[in-house]
Amino acid sequence: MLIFLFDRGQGFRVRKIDGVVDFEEDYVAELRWRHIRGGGSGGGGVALWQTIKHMIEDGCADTEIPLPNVNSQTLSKVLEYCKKHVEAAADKETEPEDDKETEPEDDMKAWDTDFMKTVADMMKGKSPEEFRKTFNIKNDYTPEEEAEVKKENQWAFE
Amino acid sequence: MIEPKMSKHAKPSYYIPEEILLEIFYKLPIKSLGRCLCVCKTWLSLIKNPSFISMHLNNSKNSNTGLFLLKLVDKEYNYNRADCVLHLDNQEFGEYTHLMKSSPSDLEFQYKIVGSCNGLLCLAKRLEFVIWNPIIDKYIKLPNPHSVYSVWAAVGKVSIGLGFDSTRDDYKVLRISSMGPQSQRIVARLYSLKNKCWEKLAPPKYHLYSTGWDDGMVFVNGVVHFVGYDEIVNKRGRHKLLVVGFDMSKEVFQRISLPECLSNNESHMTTLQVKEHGESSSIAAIQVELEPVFGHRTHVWVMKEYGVMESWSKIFRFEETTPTMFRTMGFRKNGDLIGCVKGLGEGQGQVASCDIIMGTNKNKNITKNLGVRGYFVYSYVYTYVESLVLLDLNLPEDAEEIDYSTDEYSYTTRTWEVERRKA
Repeated sequence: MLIFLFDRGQGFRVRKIDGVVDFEEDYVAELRWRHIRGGGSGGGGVALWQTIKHMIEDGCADTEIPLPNVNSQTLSKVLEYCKKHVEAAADKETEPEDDKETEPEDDMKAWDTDFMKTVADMMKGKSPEEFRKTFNIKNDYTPEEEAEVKKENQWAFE
Repeated sequence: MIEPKMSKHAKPSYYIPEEILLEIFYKLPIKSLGRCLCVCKTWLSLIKNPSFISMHLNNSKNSNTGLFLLKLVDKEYNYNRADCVLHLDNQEFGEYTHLMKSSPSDLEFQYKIVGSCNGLLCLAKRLEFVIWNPIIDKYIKLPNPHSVYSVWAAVGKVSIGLGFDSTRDDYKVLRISSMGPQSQRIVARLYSLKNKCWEKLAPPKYHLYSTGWDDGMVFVNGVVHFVGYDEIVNKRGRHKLLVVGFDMSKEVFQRISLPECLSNNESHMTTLQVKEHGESSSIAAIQVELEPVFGHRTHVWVMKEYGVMESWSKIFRFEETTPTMFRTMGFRKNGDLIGCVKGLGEGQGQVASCDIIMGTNKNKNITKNLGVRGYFVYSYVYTYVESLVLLDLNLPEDAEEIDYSTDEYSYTTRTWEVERRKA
């Protein structure tokens, strides 16, 4: 039960395949999915990452994950994240009595910081519309409110 | 957490945990944050939150590269077209952002910048005061301090200080003035952004040394500083100079003594300024002896340990025999001086830094042009930090006119703090 990804020119699509997919190196959190909407160039990385993070924390239980619009950059980052966390979890299991138990934690922390920074870098220079697309956020402003808030924050668009 | 089934075209809406969003927000440039405000109401309330604003400010302060705000006047000497530009305090002194304007976009008149604190600027023009965040172009116009602007004011002295009261999370403006040559004491008023009004303070027992109008004070360690002098007269009948501090949280004046050679104000040809010394989080005193024929001599003193009188040390002295002139405006993070340099008879100058270490080793070429031109006399440099401060205030309707008719009788009593000196 794993994910399979392929590029269709407009981003990634994910398809369910019953079988093992080697993702360059031998890792990959076991993921199963039911529904995917592909296409689009938006990111959706954080949401996806969060979902996967919960899965990993739950011990990769038999969970179904919908994957939002994801671009290659985001997805590779997210998968890298999975790998890192799965490895860290594995390390913990094999050496539970390690004196330097905090070390992998610190390493994870540093990696997380780097991950956030990457997401932040990807957000630079984007418009509010692009933000909404990336994070799959519903615009809850009325057109008047949105015009007002944009006017008030004109400095951000200059 | 996960929707089991979704129709083919339904877009799933994800809950993004706040802590993750905030982590990402802290890493965003300020303009991207401004755009995030327009995304949805949740994001707006996350960013407009006072605790986010202050965390963001601390993040900016701790970033490795500091910023300078340069106010430059072009060679046509057109003060109304002054540009504000942010430059990075690094080797290249690269341009960071061009602010284009030097006062809020809907206020027409040009104000003088008299203070810079946490991304806010204090602008002043006679009795008009504005606290402005130039990055988010948001400002608050202060009510009139109800001081008399009369013929006396023309010969009087005024000094203004903008500072932050960290215990109440409040921004304050101190205005002190002496109303003419006969006046024995200075009048002090304090504005609080939280209380939205000026409060009259008990007059401090010092005189104001400042030589010009609207001189800005220096905000360091929660205290605004200015040069003043005592009523005590030395053997030759002259007043002793000292640095007067006003603690923005405790709201008390305090005296910071100067070393003998700075406090003995022997000559009319000597000027003394107090500056922020970022490298040691302390203050510095810059004494310039003007010698019309031979140029001038600059003495740089730093109070290496803030508040400790004994730690005043002379770190540098340079003499300039014409043709070049260097006007010191502040310090860089590495301890070098920053100022404006010009040749003899030129109006146009260049922003330059002055290498203290090279200078101490008696090297000749100690000033280095930083590639920014400006009119020598009307170019200013301020230390600056990008922030979202004022974003959470509903402005400008907040600035109400206050009735001060009974104010003259409402002195507040302040205690005097004895000279800070380590035992």
